[in-house]
Amino acid sequence: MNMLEIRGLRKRYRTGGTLLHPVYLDAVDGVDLTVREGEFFGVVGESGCGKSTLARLIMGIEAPTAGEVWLKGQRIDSLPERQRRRLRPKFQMVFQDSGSSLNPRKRVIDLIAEPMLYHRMTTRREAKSRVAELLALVGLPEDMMDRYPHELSGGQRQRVCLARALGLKPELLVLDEPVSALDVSVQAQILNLLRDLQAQLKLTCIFIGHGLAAVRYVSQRMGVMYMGRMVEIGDAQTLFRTPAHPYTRALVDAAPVMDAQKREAPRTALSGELGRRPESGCPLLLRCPYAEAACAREDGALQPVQGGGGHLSACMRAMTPDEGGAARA
Amino acid sequence: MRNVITVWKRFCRHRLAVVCLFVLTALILLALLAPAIAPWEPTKADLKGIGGKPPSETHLLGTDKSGRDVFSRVLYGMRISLMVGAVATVISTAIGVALGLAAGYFGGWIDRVISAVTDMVMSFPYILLVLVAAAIFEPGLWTIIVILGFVNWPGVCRLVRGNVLSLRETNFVRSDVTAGMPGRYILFSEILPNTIAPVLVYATSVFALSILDEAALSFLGQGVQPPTASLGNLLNAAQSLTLLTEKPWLWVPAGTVVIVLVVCINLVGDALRDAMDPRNNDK
Repeated sequence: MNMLEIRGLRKRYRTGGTLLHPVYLDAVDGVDLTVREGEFFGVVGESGCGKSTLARLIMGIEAPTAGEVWLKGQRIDSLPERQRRRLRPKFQMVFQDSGSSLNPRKRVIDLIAEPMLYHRMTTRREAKSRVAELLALVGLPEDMMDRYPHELSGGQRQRVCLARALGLKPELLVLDEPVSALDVSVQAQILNLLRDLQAQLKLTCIFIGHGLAAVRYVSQRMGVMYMGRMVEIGDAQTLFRTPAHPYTRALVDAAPVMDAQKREAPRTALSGELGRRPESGCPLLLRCPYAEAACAREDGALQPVQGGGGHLSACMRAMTPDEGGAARA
Repeated sequence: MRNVITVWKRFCRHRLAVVCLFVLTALILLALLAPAIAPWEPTKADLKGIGGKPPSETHLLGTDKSGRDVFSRVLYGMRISLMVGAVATVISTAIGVALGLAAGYFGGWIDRVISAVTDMVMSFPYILLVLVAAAIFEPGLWTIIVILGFVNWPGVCRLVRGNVLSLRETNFVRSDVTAGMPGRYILFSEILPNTIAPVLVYATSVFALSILDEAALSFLGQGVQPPTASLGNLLNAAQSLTLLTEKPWLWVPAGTVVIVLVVCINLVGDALRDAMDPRNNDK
């Protein structure tokens, strides 16, 4: 069964221009995505590609300009907030900046217990032991309960955020760059924790990140975002080994390798900067080393890639295996 | 309770503020206990003191031209001034917080209307507004309290509105939204507590300002009306150059008390701001 289904999701921001000639930016530009129950799904992309906006649209913190979000067969984006609030415990989110995701004036116990109390998932009497359980679940000692957020390290705060989200017994957990602000050693601990929790609690997770290695490490399937669009979706290992889209390939190649000599294929380097959007055709047109005339007529829709397995790519020009890519069906 | 203790500990780190708090408490006690301490009735004239006699054993700070004891009048004046300041501050803070919360949280047309009114009140020449209001309504103790209360709220309102706007964008408010917490919880349990500290600090300066304004208005004859003593009223007695130079006991005590009150209140407010911030825990 599908946990989350996104259809044609779009978010348009006005970025400037005049009253008569406004300039818009589609931060999320028609995304279709299906996340299965119990799956760990990763989303990667450069900063500014719209992945955090996608998370906020899923969570209903912002209203989409167009498109639909379905959670377990129920459309949630069009629900009035009053009704959606009752469903909210089912889908929780962990934010990137743990420093600002916790009210500085509240102690850990209150931060974790308050949402549970409001949703009647615990009672005042049981709250303390329930919080202790949750803290143990995320690997924090019980005595953290009485601390204030500023007395915790970044990793500990992120664990508290996780405990707070898990307290509501969510089925879907959206993680918006949960480790990007942490030290590398702490990142690994949190990633391991997330992987364990996902398996243990049978959670469906959507992990958003810009570090390819981190996303690959935790995800079973992943999607690559570029300029508000999904350009490739597929099994995480396949996507890594045989990327079908030049952009994915560039991301994979840009990731540092321990032994430079062992690099298998020549680098696919992109030229130019993010943010230059071609007037028509494939969004990568201006930066792609493989671009040809036909790319300007491309609509950028996801198509199945040869070899199947639900591997989808938006590149019309099939990456041939000798270029390190999968051929298009 | 635990919070109060930690705030107090942090407050104690400001030596000067602790001294000021001590002075302030002493002055407030003196004002409260005025009926017990004052050697003379504040409005009763001592026939022997008519014409303004210098300090002596019977009149510690001398007498004014009607023969009233200046020391007693300063004590009672302080009572009035502190009360004007306190009540006016409570009124303006209450109005400002309510309107600021509403404007910042609900946004839209509510925000536009409240902000427009705030700007209007702020753009009025302040002392003129108070003078006109004092002239329209009968000048008197409660009139001036209400006027000052309704004049000082825009600052609080703007402060609270700005605070709410920035808090609304924080992740902890967003994570409350995603946790399905209702608006009243977000407003009163998350936003309001994070706004109280700056409001409290601002309120101390409103308190000090209100005392100054009362003094100014009473000095101009539009405030507290004689024979009731207030600090401004006492200063009013010393309007001519000859009095200023030859009978300093008429105005120096009242003037000093005003200055000391205002300075102490402001310093206590400053220390309070630091003490109320939980991030200032470490030394």
